[in-house]
Amino acid sequence: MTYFLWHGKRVLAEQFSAELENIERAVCAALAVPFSVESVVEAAHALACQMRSSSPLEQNKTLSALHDALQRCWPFSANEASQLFEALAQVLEKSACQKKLLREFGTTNPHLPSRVGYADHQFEAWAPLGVLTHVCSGNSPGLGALSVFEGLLSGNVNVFKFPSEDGAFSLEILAQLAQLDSSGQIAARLFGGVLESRDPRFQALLNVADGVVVWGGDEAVAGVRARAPRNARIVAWGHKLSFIYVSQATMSSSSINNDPEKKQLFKNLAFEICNLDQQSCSSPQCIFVETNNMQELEAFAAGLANELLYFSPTIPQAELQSAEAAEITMLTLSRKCQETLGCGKVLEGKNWRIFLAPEGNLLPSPLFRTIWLKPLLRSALLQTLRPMRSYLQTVGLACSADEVGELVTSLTSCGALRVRRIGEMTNSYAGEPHDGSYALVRYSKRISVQLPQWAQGISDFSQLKEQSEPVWKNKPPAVLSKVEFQNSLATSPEAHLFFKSGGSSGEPKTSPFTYSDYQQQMRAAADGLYASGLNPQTDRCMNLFFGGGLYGGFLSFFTILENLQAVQLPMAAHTDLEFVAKNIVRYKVDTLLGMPSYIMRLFNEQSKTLAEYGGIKKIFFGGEHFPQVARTRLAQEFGIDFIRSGAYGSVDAGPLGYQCEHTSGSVHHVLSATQFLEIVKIDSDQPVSFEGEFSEIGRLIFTSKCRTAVAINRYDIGDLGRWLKGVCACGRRAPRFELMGRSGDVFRCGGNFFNYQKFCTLLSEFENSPSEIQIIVARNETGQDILELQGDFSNLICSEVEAYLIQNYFELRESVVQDKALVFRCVVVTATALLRTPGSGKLVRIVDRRV
Amino acid sequence: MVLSAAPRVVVPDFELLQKTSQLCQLPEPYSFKPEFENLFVEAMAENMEWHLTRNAEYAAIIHRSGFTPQKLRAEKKLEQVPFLPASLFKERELLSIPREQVNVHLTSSGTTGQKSQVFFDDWSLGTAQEMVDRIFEFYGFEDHSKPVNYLMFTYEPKENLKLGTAYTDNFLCKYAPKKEVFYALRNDGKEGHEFDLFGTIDTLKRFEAENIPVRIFGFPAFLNFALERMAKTDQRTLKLHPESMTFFGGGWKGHANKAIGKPEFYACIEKYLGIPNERIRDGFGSTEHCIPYVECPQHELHVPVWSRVFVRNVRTLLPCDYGEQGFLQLMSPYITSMPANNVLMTDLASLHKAIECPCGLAMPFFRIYGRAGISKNRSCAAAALEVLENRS
Repeated sequence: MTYFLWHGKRVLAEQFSAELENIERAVCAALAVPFSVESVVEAAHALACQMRSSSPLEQNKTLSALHDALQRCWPFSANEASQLFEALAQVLEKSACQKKLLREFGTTNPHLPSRVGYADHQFEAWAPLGVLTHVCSGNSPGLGALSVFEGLLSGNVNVFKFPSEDGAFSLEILAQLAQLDSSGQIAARLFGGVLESRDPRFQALLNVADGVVVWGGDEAVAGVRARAPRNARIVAWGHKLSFIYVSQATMSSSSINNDPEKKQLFKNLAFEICNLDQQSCSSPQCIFVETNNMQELEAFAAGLANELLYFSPTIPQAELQSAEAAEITMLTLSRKCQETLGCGKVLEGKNWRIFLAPEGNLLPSPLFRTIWLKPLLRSALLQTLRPMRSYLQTVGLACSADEVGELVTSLTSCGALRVRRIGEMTNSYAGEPHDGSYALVRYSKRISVQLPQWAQGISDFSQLKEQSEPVWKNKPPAVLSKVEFQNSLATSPEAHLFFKSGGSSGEPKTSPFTYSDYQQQMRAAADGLYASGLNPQTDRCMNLFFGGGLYGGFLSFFTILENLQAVQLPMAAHTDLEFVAKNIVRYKVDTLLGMPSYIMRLFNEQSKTLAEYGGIKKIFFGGEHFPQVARTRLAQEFGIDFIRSGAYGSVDAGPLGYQCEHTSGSVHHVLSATQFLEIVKIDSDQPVSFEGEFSEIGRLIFTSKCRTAVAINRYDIGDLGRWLKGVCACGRRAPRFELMGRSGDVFRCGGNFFNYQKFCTLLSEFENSPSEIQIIVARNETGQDILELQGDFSNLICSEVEAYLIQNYFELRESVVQDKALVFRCVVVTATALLRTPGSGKLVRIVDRRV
Repeated sequence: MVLSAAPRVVVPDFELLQKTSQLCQLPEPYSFKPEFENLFVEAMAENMEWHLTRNAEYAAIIHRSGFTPQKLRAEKKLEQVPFLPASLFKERELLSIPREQVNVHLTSSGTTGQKSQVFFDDWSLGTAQEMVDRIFEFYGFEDHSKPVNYLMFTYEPKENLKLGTAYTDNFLCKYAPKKEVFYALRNDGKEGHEFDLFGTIDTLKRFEAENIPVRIFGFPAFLNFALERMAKTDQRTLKLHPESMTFFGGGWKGHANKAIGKPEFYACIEKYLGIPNERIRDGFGSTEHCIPYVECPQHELHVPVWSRVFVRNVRTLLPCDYGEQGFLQLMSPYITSMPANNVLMTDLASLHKAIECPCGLAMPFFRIYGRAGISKNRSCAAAALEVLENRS
């Protein structure tokens, strides 16, 4: 039964006609529905999965509905149908969509206004044109649906007129797509059905258009142009012509018939002539050979005819319709007359024909294995082909390496848009421009926004919005622990970069990124660093993170600073601290980025130089906690009161949070451009509840939105934290959370749970407390647990510290004093003697020797 | 009614073209006699010989086919005479006479670059025009008793205009004395022509008031456009003089998605202009083959005695049965200036026995279904449709 779509719902013709009265109101309502490109991508991916499903049709409602609709439009065999669905799935699957977005928009988040520079507060974004009216032709299955899909990807409300040949199939695809999108965003944006051009209802569809997409010939385009609103952008995907060019070098290198390369050339030419019966726009109409010698051309024709004789029967051909046959008959008759008159030649087989003609002009072929063969010197290319410039599309090119530069320039200046290897003219790749442009960009407009000074620190508008929940296919997946995550890590074939991950848990693992993943994460991290107060316009930065040995710190911050276009001295955690200090002075560095332990060592050992210099204003740290005592010391001795986390992140999940000028300590904003954060209870996967200004403390669960090399969905990163209520004074809506230590910081001994962080917090009450402490947990011969606090307590009296801790840590008092289940002591160990991880030199906080 | 005058043109060489002369000057367009068949065969053989000795290209094509005029005379099978595709005249100048004998050089209209080059000597064009005279007379459209107004849906003439249709239409104005001629496709003083919609409607109103017969010639699409506009603007229907008539040059089929069907169009003309249905006539002709085909009162295109029509299968080029669709093939020995004596058109047509038409004429008729094939091989009517589109 034929139906129409109205707000994505199937309606009958009468209802559609009635609703059309109010189409302006309907599209306004649709425009007001919030849009996220992610929903479209997820629904498309779900549809692609259905199309690829191998389960029996009776169990797959979606696919069986699509099959039924296909059968109503196209006489496809079961095999052809499954090939078609695979081809459609390749367009709709998530990776293809993301690649397309990235190619065409340069970002997978095109509608987010993002800063274009740091000198002023200018932001730009792509915005949909608004209402896109699609006028589709019926020359390939599902074309209408794919056109509308591009309209959806670019965020438009779509109004469409489908042809009767393909309409039912395209409509079914869209109806199914809308059903797979639980957000309802897709459905809201779909209006249309099968209509004829002269149907008065078509005018109503055109009247609401901000842009009109027309598929068809010049007349169709001119007709629509005349009827569309005057200011609507017309995007015409017209009929195109393609041809083959065989260069002089290809012709002249040895005998054309014997050389195996030439044999292959003829094979490829024969393939192009038979493939799809030349019905694609990219199929050749004509073979131009760079020669002015007709004998040479005749020999070439004979070689090609030989190959066709053998090759054509290997590809079956459907019977031609009468109009198609008529055109071939008439042209063949005419060419035979010309042959009789000494002009050209006709070489033909059972179902193919070569029209050799001496004039170099490009004429359309009647197709179905009919090819013109003409001489054309490169000096005449421009003059000959330019008149056809608006119709030219693909050139199958055979030439040598030293000819290719010149020929490609000539051919493209004639109007050709694609140059491809002969034999692959009709193939394409994900993200390829369509007829010389990117569709998504043509369906969009570029908008710009200038903000006042308060926008300093804001990189894009995602920071001004609440974080958005990822689009889950059905329900959210189960929370993944670090171990489960690392065991599930399959090496994606897409991955380019492998960074060492963890290390604290023993066996080294790596975290895979594609370059594009990496760039996106670093872009987001740069935005975070900018938010936390790095001023790329003024700050002179020294990158002191560890590098090498698969460690990602130095490299990441290199890219982050590069993204910010900030001044950078790429020092890394260099062991010659004197050298480091000298260069800080020499290059007037005022901003340090590094791990707290390394930075403190630098200040300890080079205190004289650095105190004299006195030019360091800001420190951005990462990887570890920056102890309060160390902060106090840097403020007092070196006058540095700007010490912030440069990024909160992990190697596995990438950058996760950032600080702003109003957050301090361990409070961060969620890096919502790339991450989604949930905080769940320590002992269950339920969300934490609020108690006043803060939520209860729970486990941080991150979902990464921009990772293709590995899926990071609901990953328990191993950190504890809590939500802060309300909106931050900086104005950012990205929620704030406070880190409360590692969930790995929680350990059990003496019958109680203890938290490493709690010890640190209590110790920071002491002046001269050690900047680093390590907890050793062991068991003595009698089976009693030992909790030993190691660190540089040389400036304190250990027994006083022990007493203070027992006094102020309830669980410790309980285990030590009441239950006598625990031996507790503080031991003086110099910082250099503490156990560190081999790769990053990170402090191992808890060493459990009981196992 | 004035009887047609004696023939004004003669064949270039009476010795060589005796039968041709005799055939082309048969006075009654649609009266068939058995001996005409033989006359036609003889005339065709004569015409073939004429071109064979004067046109090397034609000779090459005929020689390659193995067919000869002798064979035609012996076997009398007209369908075996080699035909040339109409497109050949677009691609080449095929002349069988010295250039100085070319009287008129016509190019057929076409927007896609290819224009037919058609050359006439005095005889070829003159005899074709006399055929039109005889047909107009036969149908009673020659009437010198009172002046008429002409509404021409053709290009307003300007210097050096070579387009065939305008030439033909001007010459149609001689069958009744003209009071006024209005050209609907006005010369814009620059490169082209513009359709004067309101001028057309005003002229029709004026012609109604004058109450003398109106003769409407040319492309039907423009008249249709004028009628549509009249309908849209709720104008009153006109009642033109009852002896008014139309004669069009074809142009509905093949553009089915753009033009209305012929019966609906005729009904509109009756309704809005008051012209009786039997006086609304369409014609079919082409620059490559100038024999006039004019609708009978039943609106069928009967083949006059001076030509033969075949229909050929679009895949095999074998002759089709009556009623079967195929390429239209038009044959007549009338032409001496170029070897267009047997042309295979790209039009899709079917041939029907005379008996199937209730008008009673003895000659078979054919129906046209538009262009065969899908390429941009356009007729002038299609080009005219484009002028419309550019304006609407």
